[in-house]
Parts: sequence; structure tokens; C-alpha cells
Amino acid sequence: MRLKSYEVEMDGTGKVYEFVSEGPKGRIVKLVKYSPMQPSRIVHLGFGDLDQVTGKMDDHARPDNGDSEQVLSTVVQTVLIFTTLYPEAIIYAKGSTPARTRLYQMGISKHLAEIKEEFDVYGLFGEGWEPFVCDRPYQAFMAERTLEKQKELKNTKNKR
Amino acid sequence: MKRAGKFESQAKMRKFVAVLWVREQLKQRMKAKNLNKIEMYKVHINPALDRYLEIPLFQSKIDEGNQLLAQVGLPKEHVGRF
Repeated sequence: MRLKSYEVEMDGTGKVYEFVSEGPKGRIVKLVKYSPMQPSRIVHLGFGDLDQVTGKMDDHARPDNGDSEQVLSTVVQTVLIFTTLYPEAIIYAKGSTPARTRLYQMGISKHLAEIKEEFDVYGLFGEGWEPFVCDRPYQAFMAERTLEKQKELKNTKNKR
Repeated sequence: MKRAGKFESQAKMRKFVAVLWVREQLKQRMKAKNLNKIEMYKVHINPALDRYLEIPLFQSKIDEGNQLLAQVGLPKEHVGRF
């Protein structure tokens, strides 16, 4: 299976990404921002539509531009780029609404085998985190590069 | 390949080098495994996006996430790794 994704622009640090969703409702600018949490190794994945008139973000917008898979795939691409630059980061993500959290859940479940090759994924269920399993209604997610991948990426970085 | 003299500043040159590094990393990984699963990465540096670094976007969600983590902690696999 080939996952299509949009062309992405990023800032100089690799913490902010922008891409344009194209569909029946026109061109919608999407922004992804990675922000440190507590502890700082945990990084919040923020994602939403950028209103080009006001310059403000709307992470509740549901434009239904007919390309949700492509949009999710592009967000995953930013996760890959970000964690290539910052291999030790642990990404925290939660949908802005329960429906959106379910959408993330379905996206992860659908590609879990491929995701697990690169990432350890956890879901928040009840009062604690557990390794992600399909069909469990999680409240939030965490993902980090597998320890093996982290070492590999750090070694490549150190060689340069 | 652009030469350093073509860049307006050292910072822009560093950003360009960072992009090359990311692309090479991703290319290596792609060769290894996911080439036929995900289309090639298309990423460009846009210095205009730097402005969002200073703007506290998604702050309420970050605060909410911090509160949640304070309550439930981290996955047990991570306890002791911080």
C-alpha cells in the first residue's frame, strides 16, 4: 500500500510544519507544531487549520475536504521527520474532540504493523498507559522511536 | 549544491544543511524498509514558519496534557528513564 502525503514545509528547527490540504472545499492550510511539555522530553503534537485571514489556529475545524487519510499520513510524516531530528523525543497526542481521538486511533490501528517497525506506541486507558492495542478506546497516545532506532539515529548524527 | 556565498546569512546556510541532513537520513531509512509504503518525503525549509515558534499555539491543550501526565504519570516502561 502506498500512503499519499502532501508536500511539507518546515521551520529551521523542525518544530513547526505547514502543508496545504486540497479538496472539494478548496485549499486549507494545516499547521503542525511540536511543543515541549513536562518533563521536556515529552513533546505535544499540536495540529489544526490555519485561518489565513486572522492568522489563528482552529484545532476543532472539520472541513471534510475528502482527504483525511492523506492529511493523517502527512502528519505522520512530520512525526518521522521530527523524531529523526530529535530521536529521544516522546510524542504526546490527543484529539481536540473524542471523535478526532477516535480518528487517530483508527489511523494508528490501520497501520500498526508498519508503525511498530519504527515506534513504540502507548495508549492511555483508564488510569494508566499501556502498549497500544487495536480496538481499545484510548484517551490519548504517546509514541517514541524504538530504543534500537534511537541509537541508530544518534550514531548517524554523531558521525557527522 | 548551493555554495555558502549564495546564502544571505550563516543561519540560512545552517538551515539548508539541516534539510540536507534530514533528507539523507530519510533516504537511508527509505532504502532500508519503507520505500514502497510511504511516498518519498517532500520537505522544504520555510523561514517564515519560524514566527510560530514564539507564538504559544495549542497552549490550553499543552496545559491539559501536563495536568493529565501529572495525574497518570508515564508508561511504566519509562519510569526511571528520566
